[in-house]
Amino acid sequence: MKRKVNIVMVSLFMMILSSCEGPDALVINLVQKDGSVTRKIILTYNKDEFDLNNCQVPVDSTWDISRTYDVSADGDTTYTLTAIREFESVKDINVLYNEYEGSNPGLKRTAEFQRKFRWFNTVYHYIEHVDRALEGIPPKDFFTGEEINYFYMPEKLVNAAIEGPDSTYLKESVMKPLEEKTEQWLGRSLVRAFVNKIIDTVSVNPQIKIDTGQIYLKEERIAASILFNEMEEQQVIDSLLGSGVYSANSALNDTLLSEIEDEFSVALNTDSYLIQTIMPGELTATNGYIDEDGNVLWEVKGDVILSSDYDMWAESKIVNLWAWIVTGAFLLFVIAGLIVRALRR
Amino acid sequence: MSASCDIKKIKAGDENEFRKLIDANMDNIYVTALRITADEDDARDVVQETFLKVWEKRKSINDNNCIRPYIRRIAVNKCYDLLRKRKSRYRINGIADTSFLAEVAGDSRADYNLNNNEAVSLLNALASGLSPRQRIVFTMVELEGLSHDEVAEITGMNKTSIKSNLSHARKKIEGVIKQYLT
Amino acid sequence: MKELERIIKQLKLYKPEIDGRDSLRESIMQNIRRKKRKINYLFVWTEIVWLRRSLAIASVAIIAVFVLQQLFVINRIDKLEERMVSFNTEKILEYQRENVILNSVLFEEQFPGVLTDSIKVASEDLLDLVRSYSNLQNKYEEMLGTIKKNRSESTKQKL
Repeated sequence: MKRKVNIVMVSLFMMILSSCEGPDALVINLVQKDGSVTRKIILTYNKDEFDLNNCQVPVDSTWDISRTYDVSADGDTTYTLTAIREFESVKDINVLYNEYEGSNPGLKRTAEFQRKFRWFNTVYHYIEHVDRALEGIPPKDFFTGEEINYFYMPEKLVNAAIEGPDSTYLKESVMKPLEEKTEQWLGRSLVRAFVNKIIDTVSVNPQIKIDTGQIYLKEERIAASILFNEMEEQQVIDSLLGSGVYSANSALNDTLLSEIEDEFSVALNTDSYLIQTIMPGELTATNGYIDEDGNVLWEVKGDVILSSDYDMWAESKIVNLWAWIVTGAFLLFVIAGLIVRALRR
Repeated sequence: MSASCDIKKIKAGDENEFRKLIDANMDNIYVTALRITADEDDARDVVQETFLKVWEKRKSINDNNCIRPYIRRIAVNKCYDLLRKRKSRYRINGIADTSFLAEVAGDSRADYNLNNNEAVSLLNALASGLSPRQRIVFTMVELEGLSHDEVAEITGMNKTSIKSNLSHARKKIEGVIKQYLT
Repeated sequence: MKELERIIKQLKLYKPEIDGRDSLRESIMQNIRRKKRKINYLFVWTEIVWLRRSLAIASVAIIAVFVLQQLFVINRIDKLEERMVSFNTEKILEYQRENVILNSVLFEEQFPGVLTDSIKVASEDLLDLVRSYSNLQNKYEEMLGTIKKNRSESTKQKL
């Protein structure tokens, strides 16, 4: 049975899914000098219903868990569950990521810790990495620098600003154009992923010569048709690679689209959560967002991991006081020696 | 002189060879130092410090040919340092007995030989009004018989400065002689 | 002056001998030995040319590495400010103003002749122009504020 390609439907579905309800999750990584990490997960919800087996990040009942609740002036109750666990190294975190089958099972996540001795300072590097869901258009190739900034920004921070005194300007000048462009990017990314899948499948056949540059040019032309008009998979492939290619290749079959749909589903089903990393010593660099309280934050959400790997990294340094003293003593020794020699002459 | 000692051995720290170097050069250095400082003790000090310095700097000596001017240069510099240090407390010794001066300056006794005391007091008296540079230039040119080029190389002064210092030194000394002879 | 020449001649002839020549020489040698002993063992390395040069080069290199490393870190920390999330009115207003002007120019490029008397400029130059204009306007507003303040103060004084 021939499948109809109508990617815009899938993307709209994605937009709908991304707004599903559930507890808000904040993961706080307290990174130590020795590479051990104390991980604190804070879940907040308007019900006292926390399903630890279906949380955005790996957590279970073996963690040190505490529960509290808070009643606001309006009478709304917010329940909070805090889970804490110490990890000897990032290896333990990675084991947990691999084994976990919670609410984000398709996400391939890893943590990495590096300690670099730089004599005067020791530099610490911590990365939370999430693999991309599919081979679409990386956001940096589609958005401008300013747009990228708002694209990756945690929603919590954006909302805080939108509720502020500059809400109209922010909504009209920044967020609205960005939302429109994100929708375009989403559709184009899905088309690109589909085209890449076709190229990958065809390129194993030595009888078919493909010019990827030309295919991408054609993709630009037919993108709108793929997105907004129902096209049969055969039509799409023939318009990209030439007529008759689809029927001549047994490798090109209806499973391509379903494979892509599977990949989409990773991003589709991503329940967003916030990551905060606290580094040892003085923070020197990060690609995260620093809020008013000085917290370094990232948000893992469907669109940021859709078509490019997401590295959430922070770097800090600790001054090696002993190295400064040793170096100072060495310099003094050499300078004194040279002065004594000069005087002797 | 320098042919009798091996610079390479001196550079390597051979004390016996260095002793030979001292023997070969100390008289000349002493005479120069005495002529400049006009003081026997100072001259001895200069000789001592000069050879100590040569020993310390022995590794930078290039070959046998330049050792003599090298030692002389160090000695003159030591004299200059000493004159500058002692400038403030330098005594201007007059000549107590001027009878020999008339004999030395007169043309009747061309064969007059100065004794140590006479020579020192004469040098002292003549050079008392001179600056350290003038003393050095006068001694080098007039008493040691060195050319202006050689003096320039030893002292690091330029030729114009040497000429000017020499001219001033001569005028001052002529004044002193006139004063004593009248 | 003949007298001077005669005196110089006599002084040239005068060749003094050193009293205690041998003792002076031995005194020099003794001093040399004493100095040798006095060499501070802590700085013996300064007499070894390759070691002295190596240590001097190492010192310079260490200082250079230190300076570069510190500059690098300071630069990175300065750049952290860019990661701080702050939405202030001025910035957003500026963003909007820049967008309006840029969009008019882009509109003119897409539909030539709609806006008359327009010129073609590079977007970077245009942004510079817009930012200079914004700065100027900010300063003008500040100046107006100061004038108002001064007026109200002088009015109060008169009263």
